Amino acid sequence: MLIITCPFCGPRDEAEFACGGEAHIARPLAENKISDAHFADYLFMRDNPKGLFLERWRHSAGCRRWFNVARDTVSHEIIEIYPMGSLPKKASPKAAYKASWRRDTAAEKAAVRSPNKAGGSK
Amino acid sequence: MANSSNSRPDFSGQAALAGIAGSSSDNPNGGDAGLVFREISHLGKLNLRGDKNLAAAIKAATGCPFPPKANQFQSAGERHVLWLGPDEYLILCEAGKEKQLEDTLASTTKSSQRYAITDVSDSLCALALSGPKTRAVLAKGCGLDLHPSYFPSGDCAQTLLALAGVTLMALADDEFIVICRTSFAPYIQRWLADAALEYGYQFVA
Amino acid sequence: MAFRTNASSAQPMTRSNTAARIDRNKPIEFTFDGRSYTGFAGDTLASALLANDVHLVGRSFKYHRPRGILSAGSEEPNALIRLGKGAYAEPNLRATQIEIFDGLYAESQNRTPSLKFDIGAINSVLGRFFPAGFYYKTFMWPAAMWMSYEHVIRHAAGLGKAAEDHNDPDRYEKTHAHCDILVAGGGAAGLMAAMQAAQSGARVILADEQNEFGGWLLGEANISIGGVPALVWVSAMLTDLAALPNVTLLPRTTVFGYMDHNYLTLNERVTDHLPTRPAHLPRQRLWKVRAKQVIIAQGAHERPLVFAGNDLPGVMLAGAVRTYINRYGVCPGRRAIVVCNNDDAYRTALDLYNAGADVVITDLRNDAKGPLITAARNAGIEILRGHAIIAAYGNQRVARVEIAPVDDSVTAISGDILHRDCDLISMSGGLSPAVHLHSQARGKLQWDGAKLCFRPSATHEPSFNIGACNASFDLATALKEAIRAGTKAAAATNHQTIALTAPDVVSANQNWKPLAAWKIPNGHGAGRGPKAFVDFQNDVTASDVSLAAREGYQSVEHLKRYTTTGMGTDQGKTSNINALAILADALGNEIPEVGTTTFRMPYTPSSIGAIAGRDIGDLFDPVRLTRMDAWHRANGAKFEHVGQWMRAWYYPKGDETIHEAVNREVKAARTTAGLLDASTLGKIDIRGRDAAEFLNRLYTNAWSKLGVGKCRYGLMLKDDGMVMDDGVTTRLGENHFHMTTTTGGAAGVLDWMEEWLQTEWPDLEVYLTSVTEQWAVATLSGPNAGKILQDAGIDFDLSPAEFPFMSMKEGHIGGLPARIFRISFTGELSYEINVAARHGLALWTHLMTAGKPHGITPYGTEAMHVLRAEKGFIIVGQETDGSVTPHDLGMDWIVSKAKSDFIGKRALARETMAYDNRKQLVGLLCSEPSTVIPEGAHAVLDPDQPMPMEMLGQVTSSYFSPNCGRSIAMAMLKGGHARKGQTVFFPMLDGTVLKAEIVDPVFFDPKGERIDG
Repeated sequence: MLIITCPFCGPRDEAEFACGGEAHIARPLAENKISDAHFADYLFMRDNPKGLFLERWRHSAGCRRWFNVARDTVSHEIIEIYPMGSLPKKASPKAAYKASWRRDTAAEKAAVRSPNKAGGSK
Repeated sequence: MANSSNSRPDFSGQAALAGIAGSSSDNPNGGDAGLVFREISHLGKLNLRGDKNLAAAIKAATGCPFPPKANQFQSAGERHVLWLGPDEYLILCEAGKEKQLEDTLASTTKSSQRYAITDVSDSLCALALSGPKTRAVLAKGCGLDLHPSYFPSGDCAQTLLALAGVTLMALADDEFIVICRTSFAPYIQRWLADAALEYGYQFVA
Repeated sequence: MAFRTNASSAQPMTRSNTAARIDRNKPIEFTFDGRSYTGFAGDTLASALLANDVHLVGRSFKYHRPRGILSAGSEEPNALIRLGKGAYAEPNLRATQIEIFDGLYAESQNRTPSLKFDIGAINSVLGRFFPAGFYYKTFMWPAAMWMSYEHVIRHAAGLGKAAEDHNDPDRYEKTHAHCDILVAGGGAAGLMAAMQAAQSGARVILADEQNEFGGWLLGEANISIGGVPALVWVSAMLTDLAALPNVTLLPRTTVFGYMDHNYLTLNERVTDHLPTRPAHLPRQRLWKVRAKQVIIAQGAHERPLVFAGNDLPGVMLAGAVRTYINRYGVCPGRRAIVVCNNDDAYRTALDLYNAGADVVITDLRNDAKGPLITAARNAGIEILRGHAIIAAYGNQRVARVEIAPVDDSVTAISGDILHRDCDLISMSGGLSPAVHLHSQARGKLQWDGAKLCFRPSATHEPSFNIGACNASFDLATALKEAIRAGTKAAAATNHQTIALTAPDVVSANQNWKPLAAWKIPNGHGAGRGPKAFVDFQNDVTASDVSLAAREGYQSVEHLKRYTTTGMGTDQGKTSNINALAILADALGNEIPEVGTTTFRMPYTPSSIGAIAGRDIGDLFDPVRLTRMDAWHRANGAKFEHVGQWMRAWYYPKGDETIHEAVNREVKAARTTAGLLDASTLGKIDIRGRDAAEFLNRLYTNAWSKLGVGKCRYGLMLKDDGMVMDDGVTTRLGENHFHMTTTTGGAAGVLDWMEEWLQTEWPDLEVYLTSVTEQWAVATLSGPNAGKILQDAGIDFDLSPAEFPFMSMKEGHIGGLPARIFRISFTGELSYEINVAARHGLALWTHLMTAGKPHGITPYGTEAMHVLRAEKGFIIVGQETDGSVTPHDLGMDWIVSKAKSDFIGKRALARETMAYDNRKQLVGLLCSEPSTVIPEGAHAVLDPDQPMPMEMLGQVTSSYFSPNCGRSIAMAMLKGGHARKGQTVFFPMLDGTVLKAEIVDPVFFDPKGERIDG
């Protein structure tokens, strides 16, 4: 059982948390029309990598807050924990974020309203 | 139009564990029971949402300073303010004082302050636990490190106790308050009595 | 057997006079296979049986061969025992670990009818016909016969017999524990490491599977540590450790699982060794330990030698024989042959000799030298160098052996065969470090070509391997390693300590490099000659392993599945290395290239009871009760589980059936009045400046213009457009709403809302608080509802003009403060009365009293379901299953076209959402009005079509409606909206076919004329 360090409550057993799956899937804004196929990237497509994965967790039995976790799915090493709405700072999670196929999708571009206002980080 | 002369409801109100009789089991090794516990009936409970700017209003309303750190509480007499989350606090107060506290808080808060306060007195049940085996009993169902050096008095935590979500407060080495959802209270009561069997227990109805 | 005269004889001849760990003043009576025996306090069942000269203790799994006691510890493959009687019986316990107590009752396993005469042993005679993979090869074809094959296989399969009564009467507990350093194994190294770590003040847990700490030292003679006999040193260490407040000593506790992030599971056998188990104590306790650092000191397992007949009772591991002599005062034979490829077995030879046995040493090596060899020679023990036992014979115990000279590589017999009589063989094939915990935690292994064993290399979790489990078999080396590990582990937990001085060890020097000899030649061709066993528990022979390799099972994992080697309760602790060495040999590969199978938890079998702990019976799952529960119970309600809640299902009067009671309740709610306990509905207090905007995004309909005091029904979708929950939300103030959810959906909906607020719209100022249990709710419904509220003392005007449908007012009932919602799930005039939960019971009894003259009738969840179905109201989770859109439900009216966005809006616009063959909600009227179509029944258009029939959809709700005077049903049918008026058929399991007409799903009061009473 993993120990996950809740950014607010500190280290707790995995049993107190719920995993929310892949992080950084931006929700297309309704005002930006995209095709069904592009919308499916947001709605249905999920990564399941062997190795480093950026995912969302919630401290469900504690403070109920969401946060992001960079975790190695093979070694179960937790590399970085960072707040919802922000990007990882450490080198390998940062690289994983940049390398994701999502960065080039129409769905992700449609999540942004204007250059200086970032979209959701869900 | 009201015609209530022939029957009026009972106003006294029922505690969460009203239907459960007191019980006990001797300490098999002799001496005092390892765990003594009871419900703190109708303890006032207010869920407060907002940021740290509420500190002055909280102090004015409850007399408690702001909890200095996450997962800690501050007390003033029978009143306690618990840090539950980055923008969430639980205020405990004397039975029946909830409304007064709410009003005081509202009157001392700046109009620009974002906050929300909700009475959850009946939603939550508080149990007072004491006895030399309090921590050992809790450890059977709680994954936190409850050693006094890691969970000293003044610490609180939302966590799991057996199969129920709870908030734990350490008042002293041998003294805790356990707060659970009211509908889970009978389960917690039964679980505590069962877990304390090897140390002896007393449940005070 | 020849030595015993009767059960009460004071001391059987096999007891030696060594200073043992038994109390000869405390005789203990026990029963094995119906016969009573005497042992001493401190004995295990195995040592006590050996003391009574009982060697035959079980039959093997496949061939039913007679088997004895191989080892003296948890690695035992043979001596599996069923302990206890009736409900307390437990199979497959190792006789080598069971501490005896007065009245202990044990039975051997896997024999019919008796241990000495077992008809299954015919398999042994036919053994040539039961090669590796026998079942796979034999029971393959024809496929149609599989069902009967399965019966044969199931009968043959399975080890031991579970208790007849499946309700285990014992108490088991679980507990969490935290420590800085967990030391797994309390032998010399474990004790030293624990002492070193504890000096620093770190919190230390030291666990050992045996009843006493000391590990293999308990079974040794002639070793001193720190100038005193080894066990005096152990005792002093224990005294010191026990005095430290930061140390927890756990004897009889097996560390059986090692998981991620240093989470370990321990099984403590608290009262297993007691004649009567105190009721207040658990029989066993599962410890769930989170350790910052782990020190593994598990020791090592001795390997058997693989020669013909090596499974006979009386063939034992050399280290075990030494343990029986020194720890239990039992000399397991009088005429012993010691066969070995290493120095260590010479210690056994000397101890056997000193215990009075005749001893011959058969050493596979022809160049052995050193102090132990010299000592044996000086004692006058016959040593046959370069010799091996090539076969052992005997009926139910070894009686004679064939010994032959072998070449240097032990692959061929190189001279004449000698014949010797014996009653004990002590064999040693070298030591295998117990790398189980290290490997469970995904530590790496490396092959040690000198010591011929796998040893830990890199660790994966923060841990250390010390002593024999690290292939540091030499005691002095192990103690130094322990001090280093203890110091480092303490430092890693921020506890500083000065390294202790390793105590001096005085023990004969020995060479720890055994001779590689994995399979001893028998002078016959491959697969011929008597069986030489590799895995005793699974009856896998050396030739089975070779055969599997020839047949292409060349991966060690395949070998395991095909031959079953390494399976069972011992998981191959004594057999794995021999098996893979023989496999490597057959493949012409090196051992490290073949590798090991995966080590998984548990290290030794652990009872399911300990894993369940107290999460059984009343404590299996929390049962949530409403504040009115006492009234329901007192008035004979039947209950149903809704999630964790217990809800009143119906209230039978007299000997009413459920059908009669529900009909009466449903009727009353439409003719007089019904009262429902609706307290379990989820309730969420929503506050904040952006509350209305949040609801706009959450629900499909619009919320901004909802007036204060007004209620609105809402449908919540997932972002894929599918219905996830519904409920009524009321505006209590400009920035304050009260949301209700389904009973089962309450927690999920709150989580869902928090997720969107925290992860997608953190800019919204909205605060959510669950108030489900803050309010007790009684729903009063029916034409007389208003009159009853009047009589109950409502303090405001109930007229529809003043208090219209879909509005909320705060007031008092008989003086009790209440929030009353005029909403309806029945279609009747209805009031949902919310009071502070502490007043729930008072409200309910007050309404029942006030309503008595008006025919008030309490109704349960079953009647509630019928009432809503009469009105065609859906239940989320009953009509919907996560694949249903509002359009599918015929609820387009609730989906706003004007709002720019809400959760699910974009998905509803997907092309596939408009397909006209989606399943859609319809009503059904069965052609037989008295017949209720079963829920879940599948509809077809043509009941005579060939199988498999084309399914149109399924019935989701189906009831008898007393108000319609006939059965009604709701269904989700493909293209259902366009099929109204069509007939569909429901083929039943019994061959009958039901017929129904597709209709609109509103069956009663379609115009909604009853809503104001």
